[in-house]
Amino acid sequence: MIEITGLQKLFDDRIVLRDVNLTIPEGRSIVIVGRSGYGKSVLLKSIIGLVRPDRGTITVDGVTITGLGRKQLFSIRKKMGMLFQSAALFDSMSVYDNVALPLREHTAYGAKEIERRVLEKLSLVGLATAAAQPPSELSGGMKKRVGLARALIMEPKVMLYDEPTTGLDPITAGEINLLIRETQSRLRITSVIVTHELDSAYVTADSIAMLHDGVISFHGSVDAFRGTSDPVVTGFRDGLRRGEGGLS
Amino acid sequence: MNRFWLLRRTGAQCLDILRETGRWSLLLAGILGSGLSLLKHRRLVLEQMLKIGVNSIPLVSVVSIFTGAVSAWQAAYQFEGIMSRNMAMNFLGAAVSAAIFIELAPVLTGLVIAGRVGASLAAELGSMKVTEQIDALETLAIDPVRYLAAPRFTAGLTMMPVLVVYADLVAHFGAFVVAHFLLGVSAATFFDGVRNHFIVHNVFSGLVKALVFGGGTALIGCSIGLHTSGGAEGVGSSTIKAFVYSSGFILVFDYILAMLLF
Ligand SMILES: Nc1ncnc2c1ncn2[C@@H]1O[C@H](COP(=O)(O)OP(=O)(O)OP(=O)(O)O)[C@@H](O)[C@H]1O
Ligand SMILES: [Mg+2]
Repeated sequence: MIEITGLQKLFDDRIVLRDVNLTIPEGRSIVIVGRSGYGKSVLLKSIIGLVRPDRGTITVDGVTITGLGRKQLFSIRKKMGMLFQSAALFDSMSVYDNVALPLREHTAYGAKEIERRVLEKLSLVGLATAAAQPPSELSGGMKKRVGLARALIMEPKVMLYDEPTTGLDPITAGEINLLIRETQSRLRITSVIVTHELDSAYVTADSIAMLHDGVISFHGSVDAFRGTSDPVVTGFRDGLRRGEGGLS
Repeated sequence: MNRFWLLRRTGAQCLDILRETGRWSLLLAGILGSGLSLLKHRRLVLEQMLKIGVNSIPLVSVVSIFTGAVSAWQAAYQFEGIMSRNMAMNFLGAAVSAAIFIELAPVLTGLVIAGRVGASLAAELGSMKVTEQIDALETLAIDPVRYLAAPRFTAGLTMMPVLVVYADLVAHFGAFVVAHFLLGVSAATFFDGVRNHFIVHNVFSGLVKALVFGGGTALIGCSIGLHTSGGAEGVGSSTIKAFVYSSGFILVFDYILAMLLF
């Protein structure tokens, strides 16, 4: 379970997160939507302790990570995985080594076992054949999928996805959405997914939260999100539709 | 721009130096605190030793051979002004040798390393920082200080004395070539001079300097790299900053160590 209370974050006197309150039940998946630059990535990074909030607390699995020392923070991070918006692959290493690194650092598995696990995760994202390639030779979507394999390799209990399908073609995006949904329901992973794309939100979410003006202005089930007349939500939800209507 | 521009600029620079020294000290403490994780990462240490040490050999060779050559030529010129030519040539080996061991080899090798290694560490870690690779390490519960900085620091610390010993040899060779072929000093005279005035303490001092310069340069490069912000432009300015600060560090510590060692 993830519990966020009264979270505030400023960058140089500019308020990005004003007062974020959010509870994500264990084993459920929540999608966070919101306009570009409204602090979705900052919120995700706070959950894994990369960004230190100025006020408020975040509790993951009963451990309050805000104000935790480095050592304890590292031990709780072993239970978490994060897919970066930019994938953030290590460009000095091959795809294989990127995914293998956490196993080599944190487990005593031999080379055989590491290879088995790495190839399993790479096949899961459809990239087993790219294992030997350097990240610089991959397309943006492929990088994201490697990032996903790397984030999943330690079999975390909490997964944070920062725009997992942005920049992917519809077919791959659909596959990734399915993958997120499956890992979440099969392994009971608590998932936090940031996305712009409502289609993937509807597929992957148990509930949808709207981050607007530094607060969670709406949080409800997928159906509630689709049906609500909350002006902020309708603006975001139907903005797309209106745009499409304008083109036709 | 107002009339306090210079004052303000100086003040900002001083603050920056203070902030940097603080960061270097913190990083050094972190590295020393990481202790035995180095054993686990010995492959990374070897990789960095190769990068910092072996790959610097061509540049260090060129710099050293010309350093030796020019110091022999200049020493001959200066001695001839104050003593007979014969005496001057007798002293040549001894004088050049002491200068190489104490000062020339450590400092010039240090500056070469500051340019080659300090700057490239800052660029490497800096670009990892701005592309969120450092953050990614953090989320994977891998400590960037242990995984990235400690092996680089260790490699800088250990390879620099090796490079300086190598530079000592090459510079002597350069000095000998000039002395022998251009100044007409016989091999026996030259190397007798070197041997008769050989002082172990000189060599030792040069190696102490090498340790400090090598460790310092790697530390500064890593620290500036890990604190990079502002995209590709930030990486560029970190690279320059690492070179400027590590060469400054070398010159300042050369003086401090001279006071302590002699
Ligand atoms: N390290 C930082 N330093 C300064 N400002 C930052 C930093 N990180 C984020 N910000 C600011 O915080 C705000 C929110 O950024 P964030 O990346 O969380 O947006 P986002 O909602 O993820 O947007 P997008 O959908 O485009 O990814 C932005 O205005 C950004 O400029
Ligand atoms: Mg974002």
